Amino acid sequence: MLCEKYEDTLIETAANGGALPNSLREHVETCAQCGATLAAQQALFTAVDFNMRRWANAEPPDSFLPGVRSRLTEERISRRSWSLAWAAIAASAALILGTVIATRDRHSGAVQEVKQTSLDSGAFPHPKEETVRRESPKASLTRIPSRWQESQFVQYNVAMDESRPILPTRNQQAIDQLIDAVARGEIKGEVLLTDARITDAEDLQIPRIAIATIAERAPQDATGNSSDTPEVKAREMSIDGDRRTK
Amino acid sequence: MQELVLIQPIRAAEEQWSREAAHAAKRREFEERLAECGPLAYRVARGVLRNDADAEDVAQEALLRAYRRFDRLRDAQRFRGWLVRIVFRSALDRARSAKRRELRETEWARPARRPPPATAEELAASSEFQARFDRALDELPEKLRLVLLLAAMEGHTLEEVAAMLGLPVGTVKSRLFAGRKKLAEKLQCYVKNTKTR
Repeated sequence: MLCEKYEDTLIETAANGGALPNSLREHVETCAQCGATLAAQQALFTAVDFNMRRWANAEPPDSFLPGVRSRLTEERISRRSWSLAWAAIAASAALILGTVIATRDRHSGAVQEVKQTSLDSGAFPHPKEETVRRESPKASLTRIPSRWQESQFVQYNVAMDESRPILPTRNQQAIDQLIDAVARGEIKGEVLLTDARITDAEDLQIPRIAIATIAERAPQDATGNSSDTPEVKAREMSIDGDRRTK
Repeated sequence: MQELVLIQPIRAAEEQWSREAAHAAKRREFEERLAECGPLAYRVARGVLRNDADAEDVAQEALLRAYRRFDRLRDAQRFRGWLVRIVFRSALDRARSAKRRELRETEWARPARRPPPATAEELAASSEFQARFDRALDELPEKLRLVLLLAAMEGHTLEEVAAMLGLPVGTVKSRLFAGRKKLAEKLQCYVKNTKTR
């Protein structure tokens, strides 16, 4: 029972692997029980250290490092393919955005050149193609200050002397088709004037016009004078008169 | 505005190339360290899991994770400690999930009935002692276990372990002593049965 007080010191000594204090060493040399305890504790710590070294120094298998390298390569390839895909997506998005912006700028720029092509059919006076600048005095009266509002309308230059009607965008296609049909002689001018779809144009104060079909128009002679019938000439004069009064 | 939009993809591509170049340099640096630190990663994982296949898998996963995060490592001198901590954490996570699975399936085998080992060598080599030792290791606090593991690895001095873990040498010494003592306490049941020569 007296030897129990030495037990902790014996364990500490075995754990440290150091020497016993002098007083305890004399006791251990004479006490068989304490000697056995010290030996058992030293054996235990030896076994612990042995297992710790075995535990901590396992050799990796031969396949370990090649396996890591191949996984790194896979990782690199997948990362590279993802980054390339993202770069392609970003470039495409930028290109589309640039195209959209460029298209918008072309339609809504302050100085805008519009070529007259759709009305170049011979059904209207001055059918030759020409470029009209929007800064003309008449057009400036119809300029809409807001950029948004401006985009809602398309200035449609008809190459007539002073007429520069402004058409709502949603009606532009219908008007183009009507004008083409009139130019081909399929529709008479009176039908166009009674068509409900151009009531919006009346709000825009577009002058009333009468359009003669091609069949009614006589060909021009060499001097450029028209050989129209008296009825057609009279009708054109009434159109001119209406336009001037406007 | 249009010019800016058109130039943007080229600039993005240049940035991408420079990132790729920097990444390639980092990759080479990592692969140079792999040969040196790969076995260390495996041993740490093996020390926690004590299973060759699991250790290989976890160490590879941890090395991949380290590779992905390698750009964030500011001080290259701390690579070993940084890697050890990543592997240790990964292995602990794996061990915990494996332990939960194991607990559902089996009970711990009790080391009560066994023939007494004759000597310290026989004690150390006996499978029962090793099983009990493994279990005692699992029960150790993580901070003690990691110090024990690194200190038990061949070629590691206490100063190197301290540098790896970013701890003072005194702290490493005290943790090492405490760890060994706790292990011995858990294995005291074998002492009474051990014969000395």
